[in-house]
Amino acid sequence: MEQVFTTESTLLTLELRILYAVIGLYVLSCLLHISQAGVSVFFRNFFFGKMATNLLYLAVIGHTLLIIIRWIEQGQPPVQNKYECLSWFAWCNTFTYLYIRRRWSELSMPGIFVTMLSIAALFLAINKYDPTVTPIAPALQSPWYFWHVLIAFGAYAVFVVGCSVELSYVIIKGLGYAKKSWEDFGLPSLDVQTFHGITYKLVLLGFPLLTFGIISGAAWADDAWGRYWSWDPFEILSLITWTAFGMYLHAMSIPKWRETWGSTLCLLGFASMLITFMGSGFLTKLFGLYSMHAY
Amino acid sequence: MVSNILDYLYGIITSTKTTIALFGVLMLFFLVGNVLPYGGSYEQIKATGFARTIIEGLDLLNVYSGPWFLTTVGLFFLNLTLCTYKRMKWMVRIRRPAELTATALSCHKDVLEMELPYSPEETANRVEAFLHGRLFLKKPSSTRGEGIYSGGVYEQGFIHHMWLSLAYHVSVILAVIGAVITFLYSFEKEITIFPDKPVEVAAVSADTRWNRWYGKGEDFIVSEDEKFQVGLKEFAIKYAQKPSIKGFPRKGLIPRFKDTWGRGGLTVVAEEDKYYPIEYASKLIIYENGAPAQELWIKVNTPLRYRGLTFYQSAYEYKFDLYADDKKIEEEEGGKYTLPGIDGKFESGGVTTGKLYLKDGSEYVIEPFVKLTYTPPEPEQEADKPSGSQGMPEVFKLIGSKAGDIKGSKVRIENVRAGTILSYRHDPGVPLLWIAAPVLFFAMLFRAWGRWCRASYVVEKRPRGSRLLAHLQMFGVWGGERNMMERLKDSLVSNV
Repeated sequence: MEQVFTTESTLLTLELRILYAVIGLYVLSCLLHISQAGVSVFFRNFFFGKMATNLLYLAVIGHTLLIIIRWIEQGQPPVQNKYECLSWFAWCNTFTYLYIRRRWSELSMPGIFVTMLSIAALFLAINKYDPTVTPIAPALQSPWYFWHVLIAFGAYAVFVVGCSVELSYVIIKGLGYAKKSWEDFGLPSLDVQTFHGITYKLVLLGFPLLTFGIISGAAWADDAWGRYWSWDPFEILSLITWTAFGMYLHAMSIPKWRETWGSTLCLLGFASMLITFMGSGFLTKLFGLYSMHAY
Repeated sequence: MVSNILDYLYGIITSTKTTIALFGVLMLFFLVGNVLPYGGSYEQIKATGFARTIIEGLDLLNVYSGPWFLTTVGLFFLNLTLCTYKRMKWMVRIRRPAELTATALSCHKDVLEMELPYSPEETANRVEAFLHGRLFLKKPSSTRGEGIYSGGVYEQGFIHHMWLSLAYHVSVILAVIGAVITFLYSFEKEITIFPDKPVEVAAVSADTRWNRWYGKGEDFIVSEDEKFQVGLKEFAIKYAQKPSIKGFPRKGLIPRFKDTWGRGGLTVVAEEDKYYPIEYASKLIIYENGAPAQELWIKVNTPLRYRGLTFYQSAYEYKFDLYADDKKIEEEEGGKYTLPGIDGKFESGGVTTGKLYLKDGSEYVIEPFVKLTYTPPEPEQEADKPSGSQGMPEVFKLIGSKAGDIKGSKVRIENVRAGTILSYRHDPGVPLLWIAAPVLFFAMLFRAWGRWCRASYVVEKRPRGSRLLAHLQMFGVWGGERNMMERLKDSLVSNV
């Protein structure tokens, strides 16, 4: 015997349909971003980039609606399970990127990496995880839960955008050897250092957020599981990310290390952050490890 | 000679490059601990050959309690402490009034240099008006050099960025000390308590690293004063219905897409007997010297702190007595039962009882039930049948003390009793971490997100007008030296 929930069915159907539409917009936007990067190698024309950004705005509006619907369904902030966290992560990425790029309306290369990551997160969410709204588990009923998840993902989103800027800087600078200028990619030459400086500022913005994420996670673990640190794989990976960005910030205080070492350490932090968020479940299964975060 | 060596070592240990290198080494340890099962056994390791030799030789399964990691942490602590000391010395030095010269200012990378038609006095007034208008405060300073009319140092910002930096470095030191105290002196145990069977707990234990390393394990005696008992008066569990999407594919982008857009949409259902625990709590009685001292509730995220120990609601366990045709059936290993006259094994799926909260807001008390899964025995190998082709498992539900018919036997459950599983821990490092953590976070937040600015300038006399040299130094995410410089320039050339 089973009981059918009509309202929940309607909301969930609507939510998943919007999700598929949003994924479609992200994919189109990503393809247009890539096309713009390709066009910029040959011509100075930013049509594809502008279209890509407009689609991205549309996608974020749809995604915001999705999160609101989920919040109404759940009655709680929708960051409870992996499906919801991945959706929240994708939204944070894109929103942060769109906020940062307001100054340079013709620059779209960082958008390639941001949209790719958002697509990967949403693909993983809809492909693998159960989207049903479930009651909150006892361990998640904590005042720390909301702030820990919200702020930790905020940190990840900021780092994603920062590292996308860094990657773009490295790629465009590399293409400079092929006689392409910054203007060809939509960035005025005078603004190059300001643009590159955004990576540092974004890491500076995100580092305290990640610190809070780790601290609040430890405080929550102390209340719920009995110890503030269990050397859980997810905890260690977040510590690795914190360490990597700590190295980056220290390297940026040494003038001679700012360029090469700075870039390398920033991208190392980016890689560890991706593994923390998306790969920890994979790692725990691959090595047969137990993790309290494997949800 | 010795002092030269010490100075050299001091220079290396307090170098930022050393900090970065130590971070890198720590990261390697974290990676190892992430890949290998920390605290596990070597039987779990699949690696062979040289890799296995390294893992076993360096005892990488206990990497975080091994000498290599602890040495690295020690070096990191030394680096951090000496760097913090060096920072404090520098802060004392910068509190002395700055001495400004045109040469020193010109050496900065982004210095503003302007030839202006105003008198030196007018130029200085304009600069000071600009800075005062942006809430800069004047700091003690002096000027040196011929031709300098005036100069000054102004600072904007509530707290000097160096104090914030010092605060969070000190808090990391405290956090490391707290973690070391945890490492040496903490212990943790687990107890299962059933009603009317209190369990004895000791506020101290031989099972700490400190006690083990100093050989106190065997001689460790717990006095009666340090013991008390914990009993269970009541256990309560609440459930909610567990919804699922009917017929939704377990995974797959395309199958799920087809389901979402087809057949009129998705249907969310809750199946009978599929419940989701949303809260479980225990009412405990603390006994001191055999007499009840306290009664209180404990649940997940609401631990009990008592006599230096913290008790956590970890899990729960139900037990019951199974009767078949009025004969008690003993539980076998692995939670299995064999009923007389029936081949095959019965396995319990656990007891479900408590309060169920429905979606419409109503609630009802669940009469205790047990689901027994029957697995028939594997048949003897026949020529035309593949091996392992035993019958499908069957599930039988037993409710309350009502007898149910299971393959001709009258089977019932009685004496359902709930046990609470608590973990308890003694960790003297936690209070220090509670001091360090907020300081670390807030100091770091204000340092990174706040804005602190220092403006230094000198005005030199010129035959017709004056020359301004100005330098801005900004810290924090919202710092923007270029913008401020542009605005200063604009304010100086306006009304020319």
